[in-house]
Amino acid sequence: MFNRAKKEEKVFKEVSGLVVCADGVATSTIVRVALKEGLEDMDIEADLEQGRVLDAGRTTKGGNFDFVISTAGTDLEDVDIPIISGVPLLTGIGKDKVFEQIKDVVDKKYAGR
Amino acid sequence: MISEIMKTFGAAVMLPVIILLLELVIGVKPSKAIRSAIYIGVGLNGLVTILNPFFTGLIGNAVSDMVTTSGINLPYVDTGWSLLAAIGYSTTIGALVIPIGIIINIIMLLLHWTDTLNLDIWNFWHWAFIGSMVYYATGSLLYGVLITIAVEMFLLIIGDMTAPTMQKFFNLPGIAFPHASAQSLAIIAVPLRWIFEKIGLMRIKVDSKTIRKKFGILGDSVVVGFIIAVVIGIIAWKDKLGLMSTWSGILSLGIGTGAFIYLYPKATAALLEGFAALSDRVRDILSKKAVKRKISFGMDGALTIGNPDVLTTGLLTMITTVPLIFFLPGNKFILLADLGVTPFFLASAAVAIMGGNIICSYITDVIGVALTLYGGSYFAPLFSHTVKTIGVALPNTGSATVGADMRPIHSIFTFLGQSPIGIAVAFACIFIMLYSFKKHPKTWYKAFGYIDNDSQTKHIKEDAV
Repeated sequence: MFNRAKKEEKVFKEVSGLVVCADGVATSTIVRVALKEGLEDMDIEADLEQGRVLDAGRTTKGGNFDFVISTAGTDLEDVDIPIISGVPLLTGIGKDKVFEQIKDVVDKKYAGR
Repeated sequence: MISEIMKTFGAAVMLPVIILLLELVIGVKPSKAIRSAIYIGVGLNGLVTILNPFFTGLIGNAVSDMVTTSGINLPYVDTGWSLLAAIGYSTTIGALVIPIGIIINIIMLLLHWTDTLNLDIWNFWHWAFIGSMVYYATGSLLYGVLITIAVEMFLLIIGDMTAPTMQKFFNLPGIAFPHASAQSLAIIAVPLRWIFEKIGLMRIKVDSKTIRKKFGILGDSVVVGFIIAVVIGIIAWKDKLGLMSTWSGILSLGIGTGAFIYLYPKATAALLEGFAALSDRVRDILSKKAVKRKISFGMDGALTIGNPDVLTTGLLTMITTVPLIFFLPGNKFILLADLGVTPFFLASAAVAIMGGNIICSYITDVIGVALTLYGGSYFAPLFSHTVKTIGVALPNTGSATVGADMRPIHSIFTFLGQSPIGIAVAFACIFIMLYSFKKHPKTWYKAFGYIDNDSQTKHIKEDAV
């Protein structure tokens, strides 16, 4: 009982990200699954949504997201939050760097609190 | 035997079981494997028994009325690529494609016939789909398997040939694209590029960002799908336009079409979520054992679609597709659910080969969509036969039937696979290509648009003069 309560006290930092790929279906799903698992291990609770790269500007406009992760290029128009390349999560090479970049976003978000 | 079991249980049960077994064999954690199998079932079920029958019934009735009342002969409707993927993985060939695909790739790597290790397991569905179409057309499992292998070999070689160009253009070092849709226009783009250079079209530069700003809401495939459906409804029920109920029907048709275009990727995403566990594990095993020499990793062509030039080319072509459907002579196929997919994927290798030139890429892409419309028209009867034989139940919609979005590579290989001569021709072409490529790699790289830095600076100097 006591243990459990203690576990719940452990603070999960929250972050929300938009995962985009060409059609909002294929590679973005693979990236979303990999991110979710990886971030949980870092005690970060990620709220991830999927979308099309074409809509990235429109979707992020409302300010609901902390970062965009894209498998379809990082030169996105009208996006003013950090854009991270998701390709390493597909190839398996350089995965750690992706998680570091997200950690930076999270740290910045929680820096003022 | 296998096809009997497949038919009795249906794809939504059998594919998860096959994937589950495969995952357990290669050492995915059982809990993860079970979860992934259930997601595959959920995704397939969402597509094949909920969304596709809904959309086929809705649009099918309108299209059927259009054919009878107006004589516009467009009976075949595209309901999206996920049905093709579902069909591909729901057959005997689908059950075999992952192990066979991996083995062929490894053999080709060892023989130095390719420098690409394809980690894009999900997109093996393209090969399985082509193989399955051949299998159901001829009844020969052997033909089906052979053409599946031929497609894979062709794509690995063409992926190698275009790799330097695409890596440089998209800034994705170490990655190749043995992807059936992304490469569909690569071969066609080579002679076109030569012509465009001769007539000076390659020199005309248009800024892709300024074009894209002008699209407004027409840049959205849901909106364009709505418009096409409304046009079909107006033509179909043109004698009853005075009635309020007709307009209710027309607008519901438009909204229903938009809903399908919006929702079917979500169901497909569930299917892919299930696939992620398998592809992750395969990737870990393969890339750890990766060959000592320098190789590229094969990836989904989707990685290239975010490029501004690809997006602009895709959007321009998507809009052009609407008149093309109605006015292309001999076309019987309505490209609808994949409006926001096909023009973009076809643009992938083509744009890189054209060096980002929008006008040249656009012309190439429009030709690609026209070929897709003809392929869809030609193969629709075979496709709907295949869908029925596998046991996917779709509503009866009279003269309208479901059609497949047959991109050029899909059409060519489905056609070749149906006779021994065709299969022999396919392999002969593949080996001639391979032999010539290994002998003169630089010539092939150049043909596919690769410019090494030395000649590029020379080029710029010439321009300056």
